[in-house]
Amino acid sequence: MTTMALSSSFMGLFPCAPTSVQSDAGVASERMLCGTFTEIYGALSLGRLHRAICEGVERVRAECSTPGWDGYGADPVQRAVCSLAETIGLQLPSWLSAPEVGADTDGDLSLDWYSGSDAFSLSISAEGKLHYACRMGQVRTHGSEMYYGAIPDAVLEALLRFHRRATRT
Amino acid sequence: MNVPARAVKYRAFMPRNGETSVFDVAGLPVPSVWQRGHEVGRASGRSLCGMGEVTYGGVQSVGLRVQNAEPPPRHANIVDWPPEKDAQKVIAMDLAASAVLCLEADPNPVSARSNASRRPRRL
Repeated sequence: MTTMALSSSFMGLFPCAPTSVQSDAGVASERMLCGTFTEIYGALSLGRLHRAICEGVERVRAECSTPGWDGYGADPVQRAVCSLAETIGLQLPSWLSAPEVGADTDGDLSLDWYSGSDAFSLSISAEGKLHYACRMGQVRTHGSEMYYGAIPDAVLEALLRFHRRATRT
Repeated sequence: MNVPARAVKYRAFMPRNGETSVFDVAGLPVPSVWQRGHEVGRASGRSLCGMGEVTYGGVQSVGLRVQNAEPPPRHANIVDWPPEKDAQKVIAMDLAASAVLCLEADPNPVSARSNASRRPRRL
């Protein structure tokens, strides 16, 4: 909520498009201001999503870091997968809604988004394997990709498609 | 974007070692269904939050099968899952979407609904 309020007042106070009456120096300083405020806005938005993911990861780690946490011999969630999930959380578009963070019985962490009966799930393993699955109306998308420092395009595209549809409905 | 408050999550149907453990509770009185659920929960050190009700037809429609696995009585497994985790998830999402969430305080409990079809239930 706070970031949304900041967004609208920021756009009103510091319009990004320069006007013809401004000097070059004025334009440059205004662009600099715009850039600064965009960074601040981005950081705040990013903070909201990333904070939610970190809190979820921490909660899951506390509950699921011992073997058999589910009563049926589930693998524990390791610190490495928690760190990776937080890193991936930083690379997600900042405007996404916060996912539900959960543990899988094989020790992976999952980031899950829901919209009615539709869902998108991204499982993260300690080795960097990403399993994604998307149910979106009649459309089903799923696959596995390796994480090499950036979220693979296939995963990101599926996630963004899911969010675009979810925000329309 | 909303997280459904009263919905069965796909996670409840995810298989372990290729099987999802369920109980067939068709025809059982509601209190004994919950009693069975609490017993299963206690045995695994967890508390029962609710139950997701799916039909045999619902399971078959996503390409899976219900296999009897007694004892304990009425226990069964949902089998024929694909080996890939991402494929399992998308099927579990379909099952969850067709499932009915049952809560203990539900004023319209399970037995009030149809018992005509045998219904495996994830406890």
